[in-house]
Amino acid sequence: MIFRAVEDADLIERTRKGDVESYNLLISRWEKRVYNYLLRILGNRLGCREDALDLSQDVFLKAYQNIRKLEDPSRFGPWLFRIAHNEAYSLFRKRKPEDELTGIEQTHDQAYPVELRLAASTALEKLSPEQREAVVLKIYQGFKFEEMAQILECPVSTIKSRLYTALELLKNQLAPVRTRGVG
Amino acid sequence: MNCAPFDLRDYYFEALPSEQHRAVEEHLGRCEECAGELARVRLTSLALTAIPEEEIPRRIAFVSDKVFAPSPVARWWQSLWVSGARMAAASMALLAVAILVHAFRPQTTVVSSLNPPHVVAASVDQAAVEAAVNRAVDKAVSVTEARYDAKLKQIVAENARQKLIIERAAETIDVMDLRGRAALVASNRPPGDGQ
Repeated sequence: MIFRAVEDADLIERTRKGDVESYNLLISRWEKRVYNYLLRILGNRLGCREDALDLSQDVFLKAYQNIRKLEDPSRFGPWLFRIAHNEAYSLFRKRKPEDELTGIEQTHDQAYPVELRLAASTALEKLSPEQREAVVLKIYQGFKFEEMAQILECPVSTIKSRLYTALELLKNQLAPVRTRGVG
Repeated sequence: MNCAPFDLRDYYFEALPSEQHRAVEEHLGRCEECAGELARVRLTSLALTAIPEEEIPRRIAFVSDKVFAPSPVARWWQSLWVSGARMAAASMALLAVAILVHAFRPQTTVVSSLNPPHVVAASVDQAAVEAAVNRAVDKAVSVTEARYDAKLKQIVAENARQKLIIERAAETIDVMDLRGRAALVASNRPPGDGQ
């Protein structure tokens, strides 16, 4: 992890000097994480994958345009996710209420029982956007609380409150399925 | 609720200082209720991972996308500098173009376009040069003509001399021919002929 951070910092320095290929490499390292983060906080709606992809594109464009403003290159990840967070919430604000919940797209991964995947997906949908984002950043992206605070620009105590409340809700909703699935 | 000395969820997410982490760990060893609560948190997190990460459907465009890419000139310049071979090829191409341009450009046009303030002076100088050239040409022509005249006269004189020699030779031949005929006639005359 330390070596990876150093390499990212090196790539950022090269990008700042105009080496486009270095930024291309940075994209290839982070694009899947950014895409999945956006996909999960956008929720399973029709067209969510296209939205997540478009937003990912915008995120990396803005990151490139502002790469000189990144004070600490070793904090590239949280900085990048902060941009992604802003992009996602910008989309949320643009969305009309009637566009919400127009349908649920399902993935076709067979690693877990369909029932459990459906239940987890539905349970996530029931969380508030803030709670869902806290879960996504912690459970799926593995950020530290301090990094989450940087991404979401709020205190660690607030982050923990959102996450633990969300986990409590999820625990109750997933308990029946969980015992039949992974439990 | 549980009776753990510190928040079990902080423990699970490794957000506790090392001492507190150890304290919770020791507590879990002797408290089944807290161990059960921790198991439920872990299983909830595990259940969430049933939603797998997806592969990005299309790679994020950067270099290939015109919106992202630097200008073609900047890209060309950058690629030129990073490749010695390309730099050498470009230098050779530039040299070839320069040679071609130098070979085919009209000299007067270049002089007039490169030195517009000197156009008048150049035309004045050109007239003087032209007069000098004409004088030189006239002189050269006259010298050449004189040399040709002299040569012609020499040739004519030589021809006359050769003609004279040939005429004298012909007269000599005629005289000898007459003498031979006369000798032949005399030899055919009968003895006692008084002629």
